[in-house]
Amino acid sequence: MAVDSSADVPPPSTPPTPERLLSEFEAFEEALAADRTIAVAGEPYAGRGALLSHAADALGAERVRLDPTDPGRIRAEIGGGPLVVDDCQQLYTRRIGGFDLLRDVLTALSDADHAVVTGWNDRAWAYLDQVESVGEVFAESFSIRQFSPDELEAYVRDRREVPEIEGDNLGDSIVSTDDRTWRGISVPSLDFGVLNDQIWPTPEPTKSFFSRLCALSRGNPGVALAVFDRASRDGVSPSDLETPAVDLDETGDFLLRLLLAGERSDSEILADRVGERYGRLLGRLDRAGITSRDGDSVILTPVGVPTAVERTERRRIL
Amino acid sequence: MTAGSTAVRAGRALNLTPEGLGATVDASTVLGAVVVLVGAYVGAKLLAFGLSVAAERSPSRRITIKMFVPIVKVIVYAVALYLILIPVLDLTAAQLFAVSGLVGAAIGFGLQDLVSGVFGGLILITERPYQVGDKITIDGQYGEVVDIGLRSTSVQTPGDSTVVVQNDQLFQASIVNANAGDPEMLVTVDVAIASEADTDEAMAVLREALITSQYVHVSDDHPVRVRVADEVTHQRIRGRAYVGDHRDELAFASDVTRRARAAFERRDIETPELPARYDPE
Repeated sequence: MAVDSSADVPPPSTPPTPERLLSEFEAFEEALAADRTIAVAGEPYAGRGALLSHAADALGAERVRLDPTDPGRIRAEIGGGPLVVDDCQQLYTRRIGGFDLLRDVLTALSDADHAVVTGWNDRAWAYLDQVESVGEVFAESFSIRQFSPDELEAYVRDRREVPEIEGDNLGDSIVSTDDRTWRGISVPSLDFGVLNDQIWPTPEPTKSFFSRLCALSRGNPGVALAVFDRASRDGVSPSDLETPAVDLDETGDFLLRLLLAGERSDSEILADRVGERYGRLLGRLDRAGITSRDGDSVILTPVGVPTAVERTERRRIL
Repeated sequence: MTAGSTAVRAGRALNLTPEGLGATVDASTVLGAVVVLVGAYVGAKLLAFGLSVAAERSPSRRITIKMFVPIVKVIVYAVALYLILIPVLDLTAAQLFAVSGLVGAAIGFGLQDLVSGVFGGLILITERPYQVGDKITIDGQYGEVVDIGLRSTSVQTPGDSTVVVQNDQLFQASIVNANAGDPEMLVTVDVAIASEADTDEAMAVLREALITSQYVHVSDDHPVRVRVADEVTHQRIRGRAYVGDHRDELAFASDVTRRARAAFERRDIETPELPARYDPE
């Protein structure tokens, strides 16, 4: 069945159901019932919001986003009764003096005698657990799990019309001269995608397609759907699934790391941290489709997540 | 009687003359040997280049991959030597023993420096006190090991000079290896504050400068530590943290120092003044 590839905006997607997001969902329900402080960490667009909405419904609590400019209100809200707080990665900025608000909130949380469920970006959580030991504050912590290829296929088919999927053309040359240049001259390089298909041909294009989608998105349903939308058209094949490519130096990769951990970051703070090249670097990310703007905020797009993850992990930026 | 003349006599006794050897050495044999040697040289270079390129594309496995460069070189040259010597000499066990003696004598008299370097290289490859990619101090030279040859080791200094150190230094000099095959490396950053400045605040600032750096690597095995020491004219705040890639050592120290000093200034944390009679010369 065909999908109209001319549509500029793909139809909105509904998040996965909460019980599919955690492998220890029963333990999560028990922690909610026991009025504990809970941390939920997950990648951007992986469905953290759905889990927090479920927690808010279960607790009969308000779901809020903390306003970093009003620390007094934050402390009052945490001390006032059951609460669900999303985007806790916004409580710190990665600079000298950028942890004061986070420490205040952690102190308030450690004093809380009622259920408080907090949502965290998983990269920010991993970083803060190393440098500020945030894990010590919470009675329970949960990580949103990755979907398998079969689960992703079901997730995408529930929300999109999947067009006909074809196998990759095995007649393609394993030597490509398209991407690499040396002093302006095209130089041949191995196309590992074609080579891989020639060595291990996959007889079932649909299986191959969703396996590749799962590998690219790392089992993140929101990212998978965005990557699917980007490639979707009649006659699509596994090698049509792509994420934006951008070649950056270490400062650019650090900017990506800040965006990956923050999800939605204040432009002024990013500029302060990255330095004078911030504008140029952000322009490149915008053009590649990795970031978008919303007023003074910079947002990492769903299709930009795999690029940011790959580059920051390769550079080993914490 | 010298060792050399003894070896020559032993060679004659074992009929180790050109006529006594199994194969005839003619122009084609020499040409073949040259072709094998050239092939080995080019092959070793290509393999080393390929491994280096692969290593640079994968920063997290760079040192592991580069570790194989000297091993591959040794294997290539050993195979080349085998291909040249065995068919040409076609030695019996007794002849092989005698040749060993002759080679030993030659080494003892003329090539001992070269051979001690080669043996140092072999020990480097087997015991691996350092590997390609490590940051070491050897013979007073600090830098990254960029090549381990059979005879010498090349070290690239922070000033981008390449220093060639004979491998036999291994037997005499102490070697300091800063990362021992790991990409992570401990870096020390010292900043000075005035004796009367707020020590706790300065330590907190330095710690945050360390943990917010783009180069820092923190884990349970790689903690961040900040200490203070009283000096005669000031307090020295010393921060220690790991970088994820040891090549970022200097960039990390510079980044942390620059941002910590700027924060000291913003927070009115006094830094020590130069002594009145300070003379930079």
